[in-house]
Amino acid sequence: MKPDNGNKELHEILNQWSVNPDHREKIIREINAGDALLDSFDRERPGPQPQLLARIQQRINAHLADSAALRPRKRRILLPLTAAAAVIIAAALVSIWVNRPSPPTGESAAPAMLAQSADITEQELGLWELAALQDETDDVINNVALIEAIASS
Amino acid sequence: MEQKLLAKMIRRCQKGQSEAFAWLLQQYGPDLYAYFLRTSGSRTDAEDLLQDLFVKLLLKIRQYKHEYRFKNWLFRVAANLVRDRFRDRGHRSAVQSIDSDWLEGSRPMATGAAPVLSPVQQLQKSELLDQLQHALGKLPDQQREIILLRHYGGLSFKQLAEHFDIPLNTALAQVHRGLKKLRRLMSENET
Repeated sequence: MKPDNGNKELHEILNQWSVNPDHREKIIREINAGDALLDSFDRERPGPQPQLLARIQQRINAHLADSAALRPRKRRILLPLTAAAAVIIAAALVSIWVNRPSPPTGESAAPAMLAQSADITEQELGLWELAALQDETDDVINNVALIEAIASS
Repeated sequence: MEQKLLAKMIRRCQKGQSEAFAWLLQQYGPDLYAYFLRTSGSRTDAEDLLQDLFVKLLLKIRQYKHEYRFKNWLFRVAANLVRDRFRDRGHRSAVQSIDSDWLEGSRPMATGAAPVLSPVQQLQKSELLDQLQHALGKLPDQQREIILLRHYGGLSFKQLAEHFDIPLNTALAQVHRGLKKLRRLMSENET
């Protein structure tokens, strides 16, 4: 017994190596003679006892029966586990959605939002902040004037 | 063996059908047993290995892809099993006189009407088989494994090189040297 493509492969390999033709023939002859020697013993080699084969078949059957019995049990355990995992994941997603940070609003966000805009320049941003500061200063001045007016009345 | 039938049986094994495993055991069991017997040199080891292989096959067969030749794949699994067993044990089983009682304990592989042998012929035959086992035992471990895997598993030189992680020329040289040495040892015994 030898590989189906035994000699073909052997020839191919030896051709690739550019082995001297005499040497190549010698290698092939010696390998074939070795194969023939092993083949001659195969005709009368010992085979497995029928009891051994029967024992192996019993083990295979027992193993297959165990696996078959295990499958519904696994399903019984895995189904509730999968359902529980799905509920936990859904709850976590709802929680993330509820606690998501609210988007920035109003004046405080304006400079930042404007800064993100590709159109606005640094200078324009500076003017915006200056205007905001001016508004605040005006408020303070107005408030002081109001308090003074109340006080003087 | 018809390839369509083999592919069908493998698919049935992959589905866990007992009869398909029985078929595989019948088809490949004798070759595998002979391989294990020659590799381990022990009848007990060969029996254990054959059982272990089929138990392993129950799980491994799902990994088999039909692009490889099944017999080659099966024997590579078998070779790994042998390697693991002797690595765990720390040494290779001594090559024993395994064939001296095979006529009593086993059935011969040859099919058809086996010739009835006289006691003297039986003795001569078992002596020859013993000599072969001893000659195999004298080969370096890897050389013996390569020769037996090629002989029983039908692995090509390329597959042997892959399996043993050696260059192609080394695989070929190992087969060549091993077989040559085997013949020399057997002819020395005859003289």
